[in-house]
Amino acid sequence: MDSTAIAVVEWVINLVRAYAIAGLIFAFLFVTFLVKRVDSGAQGWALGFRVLIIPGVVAFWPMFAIRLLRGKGHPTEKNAHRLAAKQSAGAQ
Amino acid sequence: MGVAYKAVQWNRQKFVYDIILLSTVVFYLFCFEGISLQFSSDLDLKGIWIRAFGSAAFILLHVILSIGPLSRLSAKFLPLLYNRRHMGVTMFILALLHARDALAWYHDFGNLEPIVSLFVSNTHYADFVRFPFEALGGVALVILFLMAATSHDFWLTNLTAPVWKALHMGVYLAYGLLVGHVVLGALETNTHPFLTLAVGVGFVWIVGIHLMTSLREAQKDGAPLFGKPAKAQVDADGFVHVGSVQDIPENRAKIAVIAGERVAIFKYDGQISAISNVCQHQNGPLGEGKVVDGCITCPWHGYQYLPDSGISPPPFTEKIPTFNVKLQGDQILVSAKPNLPGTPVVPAVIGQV
Ligand code: HEM
Ligand code: HEM
Ligand code: FES
Repeated sequence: MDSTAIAVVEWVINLVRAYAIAGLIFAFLFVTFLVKRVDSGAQGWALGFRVLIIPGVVAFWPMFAIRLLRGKGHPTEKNAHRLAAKQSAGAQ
Repeated sequence: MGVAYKAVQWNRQKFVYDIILLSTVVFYLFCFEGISLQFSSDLDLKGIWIRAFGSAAFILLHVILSIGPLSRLSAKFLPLLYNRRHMGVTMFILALLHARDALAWYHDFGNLEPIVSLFVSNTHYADFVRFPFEALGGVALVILFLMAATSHDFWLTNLTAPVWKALHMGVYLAYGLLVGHVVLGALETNTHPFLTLAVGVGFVWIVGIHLMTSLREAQKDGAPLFGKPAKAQVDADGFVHVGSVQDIPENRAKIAVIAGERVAIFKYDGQISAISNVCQHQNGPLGEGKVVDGCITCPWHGYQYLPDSGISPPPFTEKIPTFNVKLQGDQILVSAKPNLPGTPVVPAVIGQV
């Protein structure tokens, strides 16, 4: 195995680590203070729930960061019927 | 429904299910250890546990992938479908233990970190038989992690059901990678050919039941398996004939495909109402549910919607698209265009002209 390949792999792994550490810090802030702002379903302390979502927040933290910065809550889904309903409502 | 998240919404049935799942897994692991020691006592215990965890996870993945199609073939499997999530998390934990032990075992000798050595110690990426099968397992493990980490209902709401479902379709990619991982791994470590044979049988089973159920689904919709489905016949007023009132049993629905998606047309209290077939929770098939206490009740997890508005009864807030309906004699006509989610619609009264 040549050393450049090892260097590249190590570099990529460090990048992933940095992302995860940043995510972990964000996740702790998010589950303690910020979840309620994006999802009104997070009520009371519900410790188990808050701990359960930490791994996912570590993985998807930029999505929540952007949502919080824009002051937006969670989106509603799009499917064929919802899109068609919006389209014909807009056309009237 | 959508109110105040909890870690796990326990009930008796879930509890029993958990106990059975966990004890089956533990029983399997110890049987595996016992039998392996019996046959070859020179094997290292660590090596046995790597295989026990790996095979347990792989078998459980087959069960998980079978539940979807099986519950389409018979309603008897539905309780397994509701609880599939927990099997998924359990299988991810087994896979993680397998990977952790394998990394520690095979890659802990050199001067590289185990995780780096996973990708660089074998670089025969262009060679079939000597392909670094561990990397395949590693990629699959990442996919399984993302699925396990997003298994709470919070993620359905925050990623939206279609995105969440797309992510969970990744399980098929993970399965493909793992078939490669196990077959190539067995080739390289010279395991008994029985393993390769078993993987082949499992593969044929999974592909087989998926093909069978998708054929049946397509037949139900009257759509060809390949190519565009035939467009519903829309009349001059923008309505689609969907059949007769007599086709539908009381408090049940008929399903028709309109505007690119299924619509559930319910008959209850001498009236007809139509709403989108797609449940806002996990996109369960509302048209396979019943009207209970005046509400359309999803067959998957029991979310409810008022038939004439598509809104969940308070305190819940889910809303799904509705369709205008009218009757010509006993023929039901449904608008070709959906209304915005939660739009009230006057039900068509049966027997009234
Ligand atoms: C980083 C991830 C992974 C690594 C490093 C890894 C490593 C290995 C290794 C070294 C073997 C050969 C073991 C032996 O024959 O002694 C193996 C076999 C196996 N792996 Fe993995 N694996 C990983 C992920 C997974 C995952 C996610 C699954 C999921 C189901 C899995 C399932 C299996 C199975 C079923 C076998 C065959 C077991 C047997 O020989 O009886 N692996 N893996
Ligand atoms: C880290 C491990 C686990 C996580 C993160 C997890 C997560 C969840 C989540 C988010 C739910 C949905 C909550 C709800 O009912 O609304 C749930 C439900 C449930 N869990 Fe788990 N679970 C884990 C382990 C397990 C295990 C090991 C079992 C069983 C052996 C299990 C059994 C169940 C059952 C039966 C339900 C009800 C399913 C339903 O109707 O949707 N869970 N779990
Ligand atoms: S899909 Fe869960 S209740 Fe409808």
